[in-house]
Amino acid sequence: MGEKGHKNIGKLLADLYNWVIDRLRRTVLFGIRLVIPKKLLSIHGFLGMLTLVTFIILGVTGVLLAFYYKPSITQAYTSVKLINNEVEFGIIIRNIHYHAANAMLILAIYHLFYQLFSGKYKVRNEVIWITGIITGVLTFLEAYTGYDLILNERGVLAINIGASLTNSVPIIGRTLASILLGFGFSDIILHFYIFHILVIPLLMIIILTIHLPRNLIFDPPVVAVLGGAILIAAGLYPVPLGEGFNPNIPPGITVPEWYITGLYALLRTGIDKFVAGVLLPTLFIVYFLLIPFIDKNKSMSWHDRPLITGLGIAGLAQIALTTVWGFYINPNKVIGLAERLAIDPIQFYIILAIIIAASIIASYVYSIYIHPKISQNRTSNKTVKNFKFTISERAITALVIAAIAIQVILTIYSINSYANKLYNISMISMGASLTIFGFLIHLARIFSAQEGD
Amino acid sequence: MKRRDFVKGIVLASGIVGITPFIPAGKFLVTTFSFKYVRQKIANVNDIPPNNRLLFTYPKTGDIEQDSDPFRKFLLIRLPNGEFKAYSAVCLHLWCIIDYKPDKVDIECPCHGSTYNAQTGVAFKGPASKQFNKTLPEVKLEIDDNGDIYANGVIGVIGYGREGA
Repeated sequence: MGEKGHKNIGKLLADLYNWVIDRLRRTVLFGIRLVIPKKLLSIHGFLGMLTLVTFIILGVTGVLLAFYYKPSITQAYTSVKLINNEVEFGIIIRNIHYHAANAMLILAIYHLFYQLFSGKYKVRNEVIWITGIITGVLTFLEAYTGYDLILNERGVLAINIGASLTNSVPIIGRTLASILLGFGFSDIILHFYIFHILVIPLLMIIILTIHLPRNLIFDPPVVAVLGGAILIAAGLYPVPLGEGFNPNIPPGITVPEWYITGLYALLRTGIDKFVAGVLLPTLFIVYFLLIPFIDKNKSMSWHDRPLITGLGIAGLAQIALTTVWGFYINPNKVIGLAERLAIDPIQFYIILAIIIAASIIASYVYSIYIHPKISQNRTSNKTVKNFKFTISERAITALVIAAIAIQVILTIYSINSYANKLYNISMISMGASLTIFGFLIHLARIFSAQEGD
Repeated sequence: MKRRDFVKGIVLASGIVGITPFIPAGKFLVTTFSFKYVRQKIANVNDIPPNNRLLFTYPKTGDIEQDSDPFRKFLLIRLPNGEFKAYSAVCLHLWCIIDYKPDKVDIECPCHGSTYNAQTGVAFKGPASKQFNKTLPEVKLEIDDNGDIYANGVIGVIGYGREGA
């Protein structure tokens, strides 16, 4: 086949592509506009999209795990153990699923607070804000129902606390527990499984249709780096199996997953279960839902809205403090378990109150006294910075070749490590290779932008 | 009334009437908080000396999966005075498995130290004693002439206690 044949195939493929695209224009797909940026943008603009990417990763790995997982008292733990120890690539799929869940929660929280401080919930975005908060709560519930499924000590502790909280709701608690949990552990594990793989994800997808904006920014280099980061985290901190659940052996000291330790700390203060575990978190969520209706200020910048900014900082600080405190358990083994777990409520709630007050005061002080001075200084010595970063064609070529070479080495290393059962190293190499791929497509972008000039 | 409003009203009423029979169908989601507690032999009086206990499965199904459910685990206790008592082995605080302590003649949870009176099944110490539901579900026992002990029904709800059951 000569030059001509090559061209014909190229034209044929291009025609086919255009034909398909033209037909797809008639579908709902084209209601969404996917924007691939031509240069590196701040990730703040598309944190939501990155969260969505982790959600998709979780969907794919979740389906794969579901082929082996068995929602049963006697087989849940052994089936996860099988995935982890026997099934080919099971350990990798499981760790990606676990760390993508962590990444999704971190990105969702980051996304929430960025939107909060930049006032993005204004300008007719109220519905998007509210559905975002609901999706966030569902993400939390999804993570919670997920890590219990293994039925290890940690999972069972979380299940039991959840059951106990459901039952603590006045009047409807029992009925709610009956609907959500069924009766007995056999029902619970099945219910959690159905919630985790079907009900909550389905609700999330439905609510996402009224959360996602029509214009979505999808930045392949950043997505590749995110994927790489998840793999590297999976290699560095592989999730353990823990001790299988045995009702006849009292559990040792277990701390829940990091996104639950905040709630755990509240519960351990010993005040009423319903108040600590249900009412306070609900009020926290309701406050976030109401923000667009509390904040009537037209300005979007955070220093013009000191109260909302202060409360936002307070919210962030509360999450941080309760989360860290939840991990702390008195190491004194002489005293009983209940005493070791107890948190002094007076100390705890006073510190929370101080944090709220301090955040609000700091926010007011900043916006009234400090910010005007800074902006004055800024306007007085404003210099126009307009430098353009260019790389010579040769340098790019050298970088690209070096990057591909490193990728090849990493891939071989990864396959070799997997064959030698060094799964951690295998995952880290895969992640590093994916990260380099991200940098490479970014370089390609710079290169084509220079071509265009 | 305008003709149009009348038609709207009729359609609305018809819709409400049509939906009504489906409302009780919500009960589909509500599980019964019990198993079928049939009469079942659990032990003989000679199997268990005074001031001792026996863990038994009730109701036993023969299926390993079902029988391993902590909600089917009960403690048969022979008190020092020879009296027999049987309670659910699931602690009312966080559903750990509790055990009888012969030296203290009470029932203790190893997880957070909830302690129950072996005579009554009421929690008097630890987190379970501070809850609304603090009385362990009890199995109705029958002893026949041969000394065979039968379980015949449960008072209360496993994991949730006898309060409000």
